[in-house]
Amino acid sequence: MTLAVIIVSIIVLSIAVAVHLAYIQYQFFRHESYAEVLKSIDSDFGRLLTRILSDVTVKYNRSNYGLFTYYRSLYAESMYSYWVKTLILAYQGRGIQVSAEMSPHRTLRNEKTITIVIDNEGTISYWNIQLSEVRMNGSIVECYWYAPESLSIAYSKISINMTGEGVYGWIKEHLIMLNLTITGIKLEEDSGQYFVSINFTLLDEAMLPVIVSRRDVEILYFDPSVDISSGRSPWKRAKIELEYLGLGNYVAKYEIDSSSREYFKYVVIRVLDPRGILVEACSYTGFKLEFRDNSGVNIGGSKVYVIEYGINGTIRCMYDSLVNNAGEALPPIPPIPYGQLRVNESTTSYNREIFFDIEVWKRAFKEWSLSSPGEYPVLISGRPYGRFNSTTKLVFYLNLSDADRKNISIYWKSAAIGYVSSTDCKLILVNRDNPIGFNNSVACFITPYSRRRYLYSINISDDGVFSNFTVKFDPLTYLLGNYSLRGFFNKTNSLDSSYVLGYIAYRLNYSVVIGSFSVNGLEFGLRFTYADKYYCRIDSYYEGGDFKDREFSDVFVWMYGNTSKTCIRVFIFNKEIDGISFSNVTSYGHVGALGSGSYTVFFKVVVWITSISDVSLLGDNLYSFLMNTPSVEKIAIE
Amino acid sequence: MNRRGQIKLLEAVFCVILIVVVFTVASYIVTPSNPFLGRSSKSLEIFGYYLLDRITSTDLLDKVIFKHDYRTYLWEEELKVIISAYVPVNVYFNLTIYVSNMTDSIDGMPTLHVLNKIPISNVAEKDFFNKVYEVASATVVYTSRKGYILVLNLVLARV
Repeated sequence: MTLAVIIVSIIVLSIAVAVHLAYIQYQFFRHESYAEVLKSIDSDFGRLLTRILSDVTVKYNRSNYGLFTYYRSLYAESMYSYWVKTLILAYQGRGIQVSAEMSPHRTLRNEKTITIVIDNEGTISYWNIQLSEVRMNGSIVECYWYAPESLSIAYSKISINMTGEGVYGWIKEHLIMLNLTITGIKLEEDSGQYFVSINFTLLDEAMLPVIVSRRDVEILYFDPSVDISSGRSPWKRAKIELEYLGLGNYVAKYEIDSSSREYFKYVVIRVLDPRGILVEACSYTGFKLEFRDNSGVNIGGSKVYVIEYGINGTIRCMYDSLVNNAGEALPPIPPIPYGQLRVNESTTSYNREIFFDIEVWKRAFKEWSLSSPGEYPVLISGRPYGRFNSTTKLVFYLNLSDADRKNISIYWKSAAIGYVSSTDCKLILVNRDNPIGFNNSVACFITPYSRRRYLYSINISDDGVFSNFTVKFDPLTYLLGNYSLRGFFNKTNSLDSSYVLGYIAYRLNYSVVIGSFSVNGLEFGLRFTYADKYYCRIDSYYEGGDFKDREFSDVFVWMYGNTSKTCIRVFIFNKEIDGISFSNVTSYGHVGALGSGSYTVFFKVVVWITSISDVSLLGDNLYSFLMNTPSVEKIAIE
Repeated sequence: MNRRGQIKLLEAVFCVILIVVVFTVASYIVTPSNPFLGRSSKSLEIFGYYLLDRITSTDLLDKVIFKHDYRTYLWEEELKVIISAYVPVNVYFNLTIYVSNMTDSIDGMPTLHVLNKIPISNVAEKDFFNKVYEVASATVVYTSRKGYILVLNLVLARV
């Protein structure tokens, strides 16, 4: 019996040993297998990020809408999620668990200053341009473009467990990048012909050279001779010769007309690498203008002007095109998505972002003065996003109330963005469908040019919100003919202390800036009564309404008369409205509503006669231009 | 020898027979599968991953599959020729390409649909791989330039 037990034990032991050996052998084989699987996942992870970066950059660039975050969401995040799910499906038999980092935060480059060598027919100068920090801001794709050193980046990390294989905590991260850096721009003359040479480098994430051919490189240069009134872009594509110098260094050479000589240093480069990743660089990141009020008039109040700036460097205030006293051509604005643009004002004591408007017009202005009756900014495809072009104006206000001289920096963010929100910047977009735009407590509005008989005004409620954009008939507009208003409004409790400015297009010409000047001692009261038809562009707006509910206490109107350079400015501040009522209101579509009744309005009327204030850019020694004087204050971009 | 002694003898004989039987059976059970076969399958699997890596590390797949309309063009023949160039003469393969589809997802997970219209294989017989002992398979995920996410399943057999 004892012998039998021993024998049985031996048998059981043998079987156990055999099973153990089999298990070891199984592990040995499986180990090799998952190593290959993880290697293939690693390869495809890098491939995925490359594809995502390619898709996002190309489609974002070609969209013309400038909606980077939209394309990032559409092509990057959804694709990544889709890939992870496919991975789980493909390897579910191995018990795969995937954890993907969809919102990485990682700094890839600190702030730095880059130097571009500018060689203007032998005269060497240097642009020291400050570049922002480059970091992953919670997304797997970022584009830091529109700067001399531009980057397209995709980065993420995945962690994988394979419970069926006994593999835990396998982590892999990938960084895919294309770096385009402009290092020098040279203008040279050869037998009466002018050639521009641009040196740039193209490197990948491992700082290894990226080889491209001529057809993969697109260079845009500025040609001022292009008639932008026809809608053509003054940014022309250069016919380049591309030479590869080795180690990722290239030189692109192209011919320009003599008219472009002055602008040779303003270039935009786009490169598509063999992986399909696109990057777009710009030789400058902004410019700074210095303004001075030369009117010599002390109006005892706010002096605020609306300034327009165009793609070709045209700058206007009121009637006049402003001329750079330094004689140098003003820099153009590159054809970048206008959500990237920002405007800062600065003095010796502060530097702050100011509100501005981007207006997209149906067609380009010819010399910025002619426009058709009824023309006003339009939407593009129903969305207020696009690239700055010849039909686009950048409009900002210049407040010289607190300083005789003020710097205005027009610059653009390097980090590509998408939808513009009031928290991102101080951009206010107005257009036909949205004639008044809001950004925090500031409103911007514009009116059509040919709306006779209508007077547009802003209704500012007590709670600090611009509650209504109102349209009001005024008999005095018969005297004025067609007009248009545009302005920025900064809400405060008192109308007198707020920035209220606008200008009227009189007979289709922009003519004057009106500010909320506090003119003490010239006020007098006027009381009159009138009753007339009431017109409203938005026909449903006043139906059954009662003016008393409209809080007209802050309504103001203004009128304008022009005699050469002398203007009469009449400010009528509506302080009180009594007894306004409409007993019978009928809608007539765009014609408006017919109201009857009488009411008494008390106005404070201010009449002020003076010549139009003259604003000019400062002269040679004071006109400050970022790229000419790189040692001076640099424009900080985000 | 008395009766009890005879029984003991029989018991001993029976035990011996039992031991022999048990050891015979045990030895049969614990004998590992052909080690050569196992090693060979492993190398075949590694070779499968190597092969898939070769065709996915460049844009070859994109150029073959998506050069024309993949639904009508017989890119499978082209791919078969390319893979045949990599494999030894005594190795047989069958590549199935699935495309991951999010549009008809189930519970948020994509579904896999076979992309190839005809088999990408150098074997005509359908159940060939079921009959062969030395078989290995490799599976990889491939993200194409067109944005398709493909799952490649390669079965290899050596005879």
